[in-house]
Amino acid sequence: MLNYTIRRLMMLIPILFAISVIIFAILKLTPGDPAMILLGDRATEELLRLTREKYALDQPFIVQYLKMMQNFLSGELNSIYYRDNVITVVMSRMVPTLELGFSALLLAVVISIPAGIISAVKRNSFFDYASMTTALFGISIPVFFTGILFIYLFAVKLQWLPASGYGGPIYTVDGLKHVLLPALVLSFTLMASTTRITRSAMLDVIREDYIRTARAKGVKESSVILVHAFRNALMPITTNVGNQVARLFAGAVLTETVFAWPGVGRLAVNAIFRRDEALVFGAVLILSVIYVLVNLLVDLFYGVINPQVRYE
Amino acid sequence: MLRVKTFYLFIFSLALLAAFAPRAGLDLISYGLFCLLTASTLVLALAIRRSNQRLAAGRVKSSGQLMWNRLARNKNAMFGMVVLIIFMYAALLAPFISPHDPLETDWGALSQGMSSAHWLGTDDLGRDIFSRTLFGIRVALGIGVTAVVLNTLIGTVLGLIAGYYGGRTDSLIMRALEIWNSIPFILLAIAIMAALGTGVGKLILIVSLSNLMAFARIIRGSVLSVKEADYIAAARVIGISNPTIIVRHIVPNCISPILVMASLSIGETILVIAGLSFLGLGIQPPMPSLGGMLANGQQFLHESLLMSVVPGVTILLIVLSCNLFGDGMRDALDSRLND
Repeated sequence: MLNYTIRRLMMLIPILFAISVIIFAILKLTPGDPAMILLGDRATEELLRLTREKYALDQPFIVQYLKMMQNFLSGELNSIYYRDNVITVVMSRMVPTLELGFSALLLAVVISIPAGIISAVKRNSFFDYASMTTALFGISIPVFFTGILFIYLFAVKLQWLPASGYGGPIYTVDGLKHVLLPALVLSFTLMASTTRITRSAMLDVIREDYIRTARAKGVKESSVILVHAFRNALMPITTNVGNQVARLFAGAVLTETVFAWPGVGRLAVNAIFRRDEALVFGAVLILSVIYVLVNLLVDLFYGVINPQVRYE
Repeated sequence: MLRVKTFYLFIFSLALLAAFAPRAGLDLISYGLFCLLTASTLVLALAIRRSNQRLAAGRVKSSGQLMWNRLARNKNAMFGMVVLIIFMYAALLAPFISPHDPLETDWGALSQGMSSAHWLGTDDLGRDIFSRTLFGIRVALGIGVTAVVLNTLIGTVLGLIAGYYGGRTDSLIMRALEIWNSIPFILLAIAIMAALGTGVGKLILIVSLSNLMAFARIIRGSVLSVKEADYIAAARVIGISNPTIIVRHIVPNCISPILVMASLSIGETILVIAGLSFLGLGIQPPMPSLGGMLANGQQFLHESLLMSVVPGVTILLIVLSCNLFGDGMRDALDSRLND
């Protein structure tokens, strides 16, 4: 397992390098003088000259890229809107985003895996039918529409929960109240697809011979389902959760916008409207790195539950 | 049975064509496209009739007919198909059937509920929600289908090349796609929009580059399984060139996974476009878009729920129908279930 982990970590380096090159190259497509773009309305002749020098703007692409990364990593790349270095600005919004993302992931796993197992065991029952219909709606409804409906129902009509905003860290009562609606909305798609996959994976496994053997040996039914069957069904479920992480990111940007959540996704979108290229670069790069790391964690977990992967 | 239904659809389209003929000048392109659609329903009806005749003559059923039989038995898929056809008609005929101009503001009727003048109410500027939704469907389906077609084409070509040539070409293409795929799509969209600005063309470009990995991987897989077959070796021995082998012998064998992937990704694509429009990065106002209408509706949630519910339910219905139809296609084309 250690070997496998190290090998996966080594593979990270070229991927991170390539990602930063791609994002840099895309932003290079912006028409206009790059020094003017980086400076915004503060541009004076003197500042422009200094910026051209700082980012090596008269040099070839690769030198410009290296300069940009050097400035970015040493905290000298400044956002024109916040007048502060990009890493600090992005990191100050990171905690709310991670809180939202992990609460959504947790909610999805806690609700959908049991729902999927029950649907598979009690196939064609009312519960199965109801949860599959809900799941079908879950993958078809836009997150922002669910968000608006939930705001209308729980905040405007029933007034149980606040409509939007951030209430502080998640372990405080106010913080928890504020995170509940956005997390529920964000986890909806993930819940839907995880329930469907859990159900079909369990149905596949339950047909296997070794399950019949276990039953014939007189193993308790609950233990047949939860220990023998579920462990093997876990592999497709993990793969699916891994694939859904990208959707979770897209959903997070939308959810943050609907609920005025002070996260990195909304920061990046607002940076576009403010023509703040440096901040777009930093936010997109940092979020991509986190995405790659989350995927790595999913892969490592996959290695834990499926020994075949490690020895490939 | 199916022939009769398609024939009725043709008669129905013909009637609509005649009814809207005096106003064809309103939007000649839509009218032309609708003529094309009407003609294709006739062609479809005739084709089905011919195959039914062959069937009656005791010929073997084609795999297309077997597939269709399975699809037609699937009630969910049929529901999805019917709803999609209705939306397609609504999208094409939007300029002729919408009761109001989607951009026309009525200052005497702001944020109103349902009435006989405005069937689904009006928005904060007094624009007719029903007409705006019709045009929104048109934009969503138009851009969605274009993007999926492009996406399918690019992904398929990459998958074909990677799978057929193998070796270094294969690993180069697949590595590149893996890296492309390791940036979440929404972040790529944000970066591209930040650099190039927003617009319909850029929206299509971004969305058509989004799902390449999934397409390429599946096509590559089916190419690899077909490539070793004897008939491919035979084709190569008699000196047929590689591009011809790919187009004539490999593509037809990969058509079902391509169709399934494409039909499953239409719903997803429409969701993505609506999401980008909701963020203000997709279709720009005043052009009506379902996502933009929802963004607007959220601001006026206290005044009028209709402003959010109508576009939201429309997106839900479109995507739901696409998913039902796509699931049905997948089940129908799954060769393991071949009977």
